[in-house]
Amino acid sequence: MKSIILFAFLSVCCAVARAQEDSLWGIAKNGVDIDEITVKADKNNLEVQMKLPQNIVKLDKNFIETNFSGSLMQSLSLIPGVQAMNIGSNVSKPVIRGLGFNRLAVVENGIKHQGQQWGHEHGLEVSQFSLDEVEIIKGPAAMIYGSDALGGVISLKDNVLPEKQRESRVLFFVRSNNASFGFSANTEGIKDKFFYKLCLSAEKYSDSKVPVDSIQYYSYYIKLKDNRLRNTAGKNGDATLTLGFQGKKLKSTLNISDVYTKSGFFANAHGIEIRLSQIDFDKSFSDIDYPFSTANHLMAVSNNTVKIGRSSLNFDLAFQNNSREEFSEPTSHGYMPKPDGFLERSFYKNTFSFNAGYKMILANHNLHLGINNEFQKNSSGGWGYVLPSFESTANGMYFCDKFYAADNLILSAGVRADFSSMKIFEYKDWFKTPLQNGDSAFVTRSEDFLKHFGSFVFSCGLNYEVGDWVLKCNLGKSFRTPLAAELGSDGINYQIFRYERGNKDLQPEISYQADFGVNFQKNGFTFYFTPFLNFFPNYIYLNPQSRYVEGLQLYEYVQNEVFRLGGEFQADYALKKKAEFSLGGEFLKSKQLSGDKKGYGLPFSQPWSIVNTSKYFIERKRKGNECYVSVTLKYTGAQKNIVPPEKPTPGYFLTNLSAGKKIVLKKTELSADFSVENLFNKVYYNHTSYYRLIDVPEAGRCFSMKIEFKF
Amino acid sequence: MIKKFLTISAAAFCLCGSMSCNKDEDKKDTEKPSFDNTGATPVEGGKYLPGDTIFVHQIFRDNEELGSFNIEIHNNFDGHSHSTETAKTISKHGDHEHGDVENAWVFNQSYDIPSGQKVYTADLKIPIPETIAEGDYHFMIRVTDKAGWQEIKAVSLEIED
Repeated sequence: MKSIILFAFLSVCCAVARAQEDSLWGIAKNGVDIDEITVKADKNNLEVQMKLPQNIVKLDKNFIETNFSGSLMQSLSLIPGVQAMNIGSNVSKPVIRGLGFNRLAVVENGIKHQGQQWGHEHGLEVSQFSLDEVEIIKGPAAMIYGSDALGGVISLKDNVLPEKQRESRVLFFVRSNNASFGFSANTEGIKDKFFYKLCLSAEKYSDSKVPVDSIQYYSYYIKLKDNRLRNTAGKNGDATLTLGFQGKKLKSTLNISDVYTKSGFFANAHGIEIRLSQIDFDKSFSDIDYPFSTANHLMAVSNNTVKIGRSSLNFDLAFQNNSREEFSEPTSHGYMPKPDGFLERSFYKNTFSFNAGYKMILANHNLHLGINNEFQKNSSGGWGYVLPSFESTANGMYFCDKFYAADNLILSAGVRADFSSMKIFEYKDWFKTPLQNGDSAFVTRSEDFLKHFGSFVFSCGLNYEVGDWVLKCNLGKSFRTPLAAELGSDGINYQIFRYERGNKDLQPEISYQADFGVNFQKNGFTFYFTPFLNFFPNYIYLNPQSRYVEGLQLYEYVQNEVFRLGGEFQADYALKKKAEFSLGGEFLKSKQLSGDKKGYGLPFSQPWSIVNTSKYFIERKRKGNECYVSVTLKYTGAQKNIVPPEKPTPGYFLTNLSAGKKIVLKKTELSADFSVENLFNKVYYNHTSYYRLIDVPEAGRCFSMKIEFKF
Repeated sequence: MIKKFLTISAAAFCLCGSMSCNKDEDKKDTEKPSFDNTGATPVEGGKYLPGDTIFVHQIFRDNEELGSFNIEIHNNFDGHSHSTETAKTISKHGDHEHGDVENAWVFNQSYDIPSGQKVYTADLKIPIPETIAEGDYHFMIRVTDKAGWQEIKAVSLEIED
C-alpha cells in the first residue's frame, strides 16, 4: 500500500497543480446576462487567483440569500464537496470533503473562529445575515491558517466596503417544519472615507418534525407525539457592528459581533437517565425544557492594512469569548450521587489572536511573509466531565512565493513552521468511587501536564491557462495539533453513551494532499472537475474497543495511517435570460491502512451524490421585476463502507422546489421567495448527521417563505 | 500539451483509485454480534422477590470473534420500553406505578469472554439485594465483538412480593 501512495505522490509531483473553482457559481445563480457573467467571472477569477495559490470557491451575498436555509452550513452544503453535519434542523457543523470538527478552520475576517468545534453537539456560532462574502478552500490550507486547516477553510467576511452610499435591508422568514420565524435588519453606509454596518437578527423555532411516528435508540423504543422530536426547539439572536476607514494608504476595520443561541437537546436521546424525568415534554412543542444548551460567542476583530509603494503590511488583532453551558436534570449515575443544580457542563474559552503579514512584488514574484499567534484559555465546569481545562498557545511563521513564470503560468511555493504548546489541568471526580482494595477515592480523570509540539509544512502548485481551459495542481502538507479532549479525556461521554480515553502521547496529525483541477469556460458553459488524493500518516482516530469500562463500551484515541481520495464536478449552462441548468456531484473514499481498524473507512464519510438544478426565468417588461421557478433534484448514494458503531445508510432521492419574484419601485426593492424542501415528505437518513447514529430521520416536508425589503 | 496533461493526471488518478479501492473487501467485519435466545434466562416478564437469585443463561454468537459483555439492571418505574421487548410487555407498561427511585436497585458489571470464541455461553448468578425498592426493572445485556460492534438486549422483570 505504501508503494501505491508513493507512486501517487510521485505522479502528482510531475504535474503539480491545484483545483480552482471560480466564483462563476455564485454569479451564474443570479441570472445576469451571459455577457455580464463572462466579464464578471473573468475579473473575479483573476482576483481570486491573485489572492492565494489555493483552490477557492467564492460566494457572494446573493448566493447566501438565494439559498437561504435553516443554518449557514445547510446553505453552503449545496456546493459539491461541502457538507453540513446537522444536529437537528437549526444547528449544523461544517464538513469539507468528509473532514469536520477540528480538521477544518472557520475563519472570520482573517481570524480563526475558536468555539467548541470539537464537540458533537456544538454548532457553528456565526451569524449568516451579516455576511458579505464566503470563500471555501477545499483541501489543505495550513500554509496561511496554521493548525486545523488540513481539510479546508471556510472564510467568512462581513467587513467589506459597502457598495452603496446608504442602504438598509429588512428580511422576514418563516419555515413550516419547525414553526421557525425570524427577521434580520441591516443598515450600512459610507461617509467620506468612513463606513459603518450594523446587523441585527433573531429567530425562534419549535420542535422539528420528522416523517415517522417512532424511533429506536439504544434499544429504547420511543413513540413520537405528532411526529415531533421532543424538545428540539430553540432560539437565537445575533448583533454585528462594523466600523471602517478606507483611505488610499490605509484600510482599517473594527468588527464586533455577538451570537447567542439556546437550543434544546432531543430529550429522548440525551443525558444520563432522562427517562426518570418529571417533565411533561409533550405539553408544548415550542418551549425549551431540560436538557438544553446555551452558547454565546463574542468576537472583536481589528483588521488593518497599510500600503507602502508596491508592498503592503497587515495587522489583525482579535479577542474571542466563547461560553457554552449545558443544563440537564440532576440524576445519580453509577457511583455519582445526585448532583446539586442543573449545570451539567460548561466551557468558557477566551482566545487572543494576532496575525501580521507583509506582501511585496519583486519583479515577477509576489512574496508573502507572515506570522500567526494565538493564545487560548479554556475553563471547564459543571458536574459532568468531558473536557479538561487547558491553556494553549500556537505560534507560526510562513513564507510563500508566487512566481509568474509566463503570461499563462503561475508557480507557487511556500513553507511554514509552527510551535505550539498545550497545558492541561488536573481534573478529579467530585464524588468518591470505591476501589478494589476496599477504599474509595476521587478518581483522577486528567492529570496536569504540558506538551510542546512543532510542525513544518510546505505547499507547492501551479496554475496553467490555455485557451478556455485552466489546469491546476497542488501538493501540500498540513497539520493539526491534538486537542485537549484527544490528549486528556478519561471518562464517560454522556452525549454519546461511551467511555472515552485520551492519549497523552499523540503527535500532531499530518496530512499530505495532492489536488488536481480541470476548468473549462466558454459561451455560458462552465465546467470543473477537482479530484484529490490524501494521505495521513497518523490520523487521530477514536477507536471503539471490545472492552467495557464503568459499564460502557471503551473508545480510545489512536493514530492510524489513512488514505483518502475523492473529487467534485460541476457543470453549469446559462441560456440567455431564460434558464439556467446545473449538474454537480461529489464522491469520497477513505480507508484506514494500519491499526485495529485496518481496511475500514472513516466515520461520517458522506456517500456520493449528484445534484441537478433547473431554473427558469419569466421575463417582465420592467427591468428587475422578473420571476423564477426552480427545481432541485438530489440523488445521494448509499453508504455501506462503515465503521463501528455506524449503520449502513441507504441512498435517497430528494426534490426541492422554489419560486420567487422581485419588484423594483424607484429606490425600494421588494423580493419574495417561496420554497418547499423534501417535497414528497421522504423518510431518509443523512449519513453525516449527528442523529443518524440514533436512527432519527431527516426533517420532513418544509415550506418556507422569505420577504425582503431593500431601501 | 493539454491532452497530455489530462491523460497523465487522469491515468494517475484512476490507477491510485483502483489500487486503493479494489482491496476494500478484505476481511472487514461489518457484522454485529448476536444473542441466541435458545433457553435464555431471565425470561421476559420474569417475576422475582427481593433476596431471590437471577440465574442468567445467555448464548452469544459472532461471525468472527466475541469481545466482552456487560449486564446492567435498572428500574423501570417510569414505564419506558425497549425495542427488543415483546409487544405484550410494552402494552402492560401502560398502568405502571412509580416506585421509590432513591432506593432502586442498580447493577452494572462487565465480563470478559475468552479470546477466539465465536460462540460463548454465559451462566451467572445475580443475587437480588433484600432492601431494594420493589417494582418493574429492566435487565440489559450488551455484548461486543473484537471489531468493536455492540448489540443490546433488554428484558423486563418484576421484583415484588
